[in-house]
Amino acid sequence: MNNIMIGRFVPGNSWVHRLDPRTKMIVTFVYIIVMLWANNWQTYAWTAAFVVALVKLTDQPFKLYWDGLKPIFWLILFTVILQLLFTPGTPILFSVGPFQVTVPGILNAIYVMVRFVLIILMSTILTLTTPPTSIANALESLLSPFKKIGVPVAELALMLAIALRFVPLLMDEMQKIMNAQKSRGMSFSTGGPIKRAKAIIPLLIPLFIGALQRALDLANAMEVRGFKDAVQRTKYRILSYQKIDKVAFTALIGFVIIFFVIKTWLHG
Amino acid sequence: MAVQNTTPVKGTWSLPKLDVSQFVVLALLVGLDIVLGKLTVGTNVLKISFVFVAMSLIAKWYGPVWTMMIATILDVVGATIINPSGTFFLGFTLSAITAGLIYALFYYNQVHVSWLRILGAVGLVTFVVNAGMNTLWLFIMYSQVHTWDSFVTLLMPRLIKSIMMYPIQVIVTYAFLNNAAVKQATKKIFNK
Repeated sequence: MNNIMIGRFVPGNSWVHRLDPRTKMIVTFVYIIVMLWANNWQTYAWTAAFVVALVKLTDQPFKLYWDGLKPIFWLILFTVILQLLFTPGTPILFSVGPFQVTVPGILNAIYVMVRFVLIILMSTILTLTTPPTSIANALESLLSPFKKIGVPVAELALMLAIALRFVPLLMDEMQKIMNAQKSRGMSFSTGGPIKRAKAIIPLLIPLFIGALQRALDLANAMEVRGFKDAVQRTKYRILSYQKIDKVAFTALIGFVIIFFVIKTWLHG
Repeated sequence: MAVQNTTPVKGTWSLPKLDVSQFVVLALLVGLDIVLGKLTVGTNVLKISFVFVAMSLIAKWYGPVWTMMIATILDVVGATIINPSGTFFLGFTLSAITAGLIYALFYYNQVHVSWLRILGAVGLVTFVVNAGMNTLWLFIMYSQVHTWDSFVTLLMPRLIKSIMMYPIQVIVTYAFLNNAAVKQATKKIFNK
């Protein structure tokens, strides 16, 4: 539960750290979308090379990235096994009951695993090198065109910034409540699913009450400081694109073009 | 100017104006949703997640428009930054919006949410959104062979899980939304 990557920002002065958060978000989104088109080893190799180069440019130890992968190891394994057992095709290597392990199944399982790992690495690059508040600011800036159709972008961004800021505190609080309930004899890991689900109510209610109290305290603090409207907020740091961002966008365009060149001409 | 010192507008399809307390409470509920996403109980066979609890409360208090917007933001940010698991796909965003809409249509402005409403909302979200729509997105994303049989193969384990989850979600939702502390909080924050 404590493996959450939010708030795992590691300060630094690497090339990636110095990029505008909007640039990093755009690169991450474009990369994830491009990954949906990867369908052969050449395209996967190219997308992997791009991520590895970015990981290198962050100047962070690989252990941090490994920590980002560990929490969803079982999800990856489950998906890989599903692909392995349920992908029909020929040649069939062996059968166990209704399940068949085929060559396309093995290839598909490897591709799915690589896709998972690369997307997680890319997202980890963003969270390791960008503070959560900058992510919220970037989101506000990127979504600003939606203001024209009445979407309260500034409010949503401020809301997300507050939420992200409070996630580590809420996590700690949840852990404390769980420990307190356990010390009173509550068990979250015995009994059937319904018994376990019922056991969660004495955890949810105190957690909710604690969050509510924090919210009301924060609201008071904001009001006494004159907060009235998220739209009127001023910012300590104004986002602006630099030369380094232009280099990053050029690299991104190059990455996308080469990806589709490989996909179209090398494999068809 | 959506954040003002005013009382909420009661129309279902309007964007209720929030005072500062209501605004910050909504932000903390979003935080709670992220935290609950990390909490699972159960066995290896059936893991129960409780993200639906925070979203249900957002729907009950803030209505469909805020709930759908929050669901969109949480899905996009969640799939790419908070819980990156390689499953970012606009279909899942559509599922999150639909689930938020269903919860809000059944729960919004209800002082006491009845069993019938919870059975209906949780049923639609569990079977139509989670088992139906999400399986379709997984089928589009990961299945190499697009036949009815391969869709059913993918659907069956998810449907069985949904059938097992349904009563649990109904009980937890009812116990949470109608809890005395939640009702008290509703009075304190929304004066209703």
